[in-house]
Amino acid sequence: MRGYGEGSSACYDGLTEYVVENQNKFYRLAFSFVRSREDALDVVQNAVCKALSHYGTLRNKDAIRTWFYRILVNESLLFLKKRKEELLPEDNEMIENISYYEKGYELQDNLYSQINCLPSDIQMIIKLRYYEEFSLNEIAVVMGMNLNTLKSKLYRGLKLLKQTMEEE
Amino acid sequence: MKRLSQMELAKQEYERIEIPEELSGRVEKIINQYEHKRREAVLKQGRKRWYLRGAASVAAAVLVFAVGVNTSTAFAGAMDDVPILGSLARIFTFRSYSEEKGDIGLSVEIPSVEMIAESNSGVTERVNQEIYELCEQYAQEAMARAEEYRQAFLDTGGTEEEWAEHHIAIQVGYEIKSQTDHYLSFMIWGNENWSSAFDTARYYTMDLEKQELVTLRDLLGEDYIAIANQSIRTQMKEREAQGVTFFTEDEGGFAGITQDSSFYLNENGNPVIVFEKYQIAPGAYGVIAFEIGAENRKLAGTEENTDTDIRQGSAEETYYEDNFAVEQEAVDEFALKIKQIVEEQDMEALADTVCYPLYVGRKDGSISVNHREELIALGVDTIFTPELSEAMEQADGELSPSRAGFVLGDGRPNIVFGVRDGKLGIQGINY
Repeated sequence: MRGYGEGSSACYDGLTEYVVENQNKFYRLAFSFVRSREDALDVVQNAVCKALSHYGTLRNKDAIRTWFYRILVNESLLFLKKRKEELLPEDNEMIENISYYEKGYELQDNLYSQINCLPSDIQMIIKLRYYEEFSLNEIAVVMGMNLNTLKSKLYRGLKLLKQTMEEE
Repeated sequence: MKRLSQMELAKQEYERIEIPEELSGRVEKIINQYEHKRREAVLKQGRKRWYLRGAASVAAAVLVFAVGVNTSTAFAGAMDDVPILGSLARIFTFRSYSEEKGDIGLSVEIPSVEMIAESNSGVTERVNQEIYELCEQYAQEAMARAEEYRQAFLDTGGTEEEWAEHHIAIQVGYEIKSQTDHYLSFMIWGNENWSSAFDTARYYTMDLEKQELVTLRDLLGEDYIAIANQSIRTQMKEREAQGVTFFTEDEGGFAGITQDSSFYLNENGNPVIVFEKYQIAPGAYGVIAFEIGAENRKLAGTEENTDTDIRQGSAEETYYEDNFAVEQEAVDEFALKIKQIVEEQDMEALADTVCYPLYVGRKDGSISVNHREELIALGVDTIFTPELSEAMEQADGELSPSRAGFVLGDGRPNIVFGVRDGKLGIQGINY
C-alpha cells in the first residue's frame, strides 16, 4: 500500500497551495476560451473539484502543474464541446465560423484576437506555450498528445497567424 | 521579428483579463469542502482499503462505485448460471472479462436480462443489445483514452515503472437497484479511475408483466413532470438548509426534469431521479439523487451521504454499500454460518438468513420464494438435500466478491449470498 499516508498528504497540500496561488491564471485561460465570466468561473470550479477528488492519481509533487493543467484544459474543451452541442444547428454554424478563423471576426486585427480565432486545440497549444510559458514536453503531457503531433499543430497555428498578420 | 513582439503584446492583453472578485471565494469554498470530505475518507480508509487496487487513491474510497478486482474469466463462467432475481426475470452476467495491457487494467461485466415468460414484444432483446453495445463501446473508448494518456506520458520522459505506478483501471459493470415481481430496475455504469470526465451511467427499469421499459409517466401519472419538479425543489431547499450548494438556474442548475431524465426504482418502489456529477451542483457532491414520493421518510440524499446517514442510524449493525465493501472476515463468518445451518438442517435459521425473494434453482425447474413462510413450507427434505449438505461441508477457501455476490460451493449445488439493503443475506440456492 505505498502511496498512502504522508506521501499523498504532501501531494494534497501541495495541490491546494498550488491552486490558491495560481487561480487567476486558471481563470484567464478558461475565460479566453469560453469568453463568459460565469462560464469561466464554472470551468475553474469544476477543474478544481476534479483535481481535488483525484489527487490520489498525482504521484509526484513536481508534476502538479502539468497534471492540473491537463484537467483544466479538458474541462475547457469539454465545455466548448457541450455548448456547441446544446445550440441549434443554425447557431452551431455561427459558432463554427467564429471559432474557426473566419472573416468578419478579423475586425480586431491584433494577434491576441487572431489567436482566439484558431481551432481550439491549436489555440490551447499557443496559449500554453506563449502565455503560460510551458515547454513543448509539458504541453504534450497536458494535451495528452505525442510530441510530433503537437509540434505540427503548433507550427500550423503559427503559420496561420503569420499569414493573416502579413495580409494586414 | 514582428511576430514575436506582437506575441508579447498579445500576452500583455491576455494578462489584462479581469479576475472576478468571487473567484477566490469560490475556490476557497471548494477546498474547504474537500478538506472536510478528505478527513472522512481517511477515517473510512482503514475499513475499505482491502478491495482497492494497489496504491489506488484515498479519493477512490469516496467514489460512488467501488473498484472491484476479483473478476476473472474463470470466475465469471461460474457466475453465468447464478440467477439472482425472482420469478419473472433474471439478470445475469452475459459476458465478463478482464485484461491488462500496458499496465492498464480493464474489467468488464456485461449483463443481460432474461424473461422467464415467453416474450413477444422484443423489448428485452432490444435492451440487451443496447446494453451490450454500450458496455463494449465504453470499454473500447476508455481503453483508447488510457492508451493515449500512456503514450503521452512515455513520450514526455515518463518511464514504464512510473506509468505502472498510476494503476489505471477501467471498469464496466452493472448494479441492480431493485427488483419485485413487477419491476426490475438496474444501472449500467462505466468509469476510469484517472478521470471522472467520462464516467457514465444508464438506468433501465422494466415492467416484467408488460415486458416494457417503464417511464416516469407510468409511475407518477400524467402530471409526472410537475410532481417530480415540486418534490425535487422541496428536497433541494431542505438540503440547502443543511449546507449543500446547488447551481442556480442561471448557472446551469436544476431547471426541471424532462421525459428523458434518468431514474431508477428503489426498494420502496419509488422512482429516484438521478443527476450526474456536475449536472446541478458542484462535482464535490457527486451523483445527486432525489426519491420522489417519499416526503415523509428520510430523504434519499446524495449517494455518498446516504452511505453515512444509514450507518449512523443503525449503530449495532454494519451497513455495506455493496458486495465489495464487506470485510473478508464478515464474509467468512457468514459462510460459516451457512455451513452450520445446512449441517444442522435448521429451517428457521435459514429463513432468517435469507433476503427475499430467494431464488431456488432446481434441476426440475426454478422457483422464487417470496416469504419466510413459503420457504419453510418447502420442507427440510426439499431444501437440505444430501447433495447440498455434502457441497457445504466441502466448501472452503476464500470467497471473492462480484456484483452478483459470493458463491459458496464449488460447482453445483451452491449457495449464493450478497449484500441487499446494506446487509448480507442468502440470495439463491442452486441444486
